[in-house]
Amino acid sequence: MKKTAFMGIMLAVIMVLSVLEHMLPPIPLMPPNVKLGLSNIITMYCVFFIGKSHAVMLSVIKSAFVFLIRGPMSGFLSLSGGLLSICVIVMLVYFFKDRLSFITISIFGAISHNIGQITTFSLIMKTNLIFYYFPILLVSGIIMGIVTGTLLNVLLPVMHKVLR
Amino acid sequence: MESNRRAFSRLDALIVLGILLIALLFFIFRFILDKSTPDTRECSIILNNTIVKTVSLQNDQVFSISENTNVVFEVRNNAIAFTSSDCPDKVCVQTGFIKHNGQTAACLPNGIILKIVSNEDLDEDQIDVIAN
Repeated sequence: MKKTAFMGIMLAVIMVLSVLEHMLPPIPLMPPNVKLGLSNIITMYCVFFIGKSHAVMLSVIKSAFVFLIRGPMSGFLSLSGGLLSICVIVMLVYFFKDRLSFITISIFGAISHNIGQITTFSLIMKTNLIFYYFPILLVSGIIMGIVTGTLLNVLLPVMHKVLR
Repeated sequence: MESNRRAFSRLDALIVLGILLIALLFFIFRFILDKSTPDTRECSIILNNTIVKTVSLQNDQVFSISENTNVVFEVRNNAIAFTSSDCPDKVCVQTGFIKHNGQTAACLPNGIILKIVSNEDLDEDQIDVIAN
């Protein structure tokens, strides 16, 4: 299957995941408007098997989509979380090559996604949120990282089959 | 391309433990900091980018602002929360109680934001909170 077609399908999946994430109630202990990073599964697959620039593009389009369905604040949060997440993942792959499992990379992706979102939120609201939320941000990043990493591992053969 | 990436190895476990340790350190750090702040916090109630009321968190009370009586707040145990609101999604109410300096709760449909400030820095010009 051509990369373009595959990217289209992946974008559709990301959109559905995005809508689902925004429908969930606010997570306790974290500030509202901070979302789970389920789309990271798709974006990570893209980084490893399609191309890094494609993954970045996917992230940006996803944020544009969030902007359309939820508004500028959520869109901007999504953009900052997504971009930081992609940058961290790409840097990790560049420096560590094969030595890290998908799960660890997922964890760093999730944590940086959270950091990106909460930093923008703090900057816009002019508060010191990031200091108070840092511990829970790390822990939830680890948990979501493990979830997305395992899901990626499980879905790998399926996605390969769709791509070929 | 990626066929020889290992599953969860020792390096990974080490990294995760490291992150957990950092989280614990920050948690302890914040706990200590919290204990040493005096309880003189106040909450600014911001309606459409202007502060309309500032309420001290020291006295328990239930109230609304005169500009919008459909939104009710409660102050309890040095924290404040939206208790009821006429907005459709109730994100504000679900946020629950906020008490730490800098924490916010917002009811975007009504244009109301609650923000905890400490007594000392209320002299700054806080009129245009968002666009500043």
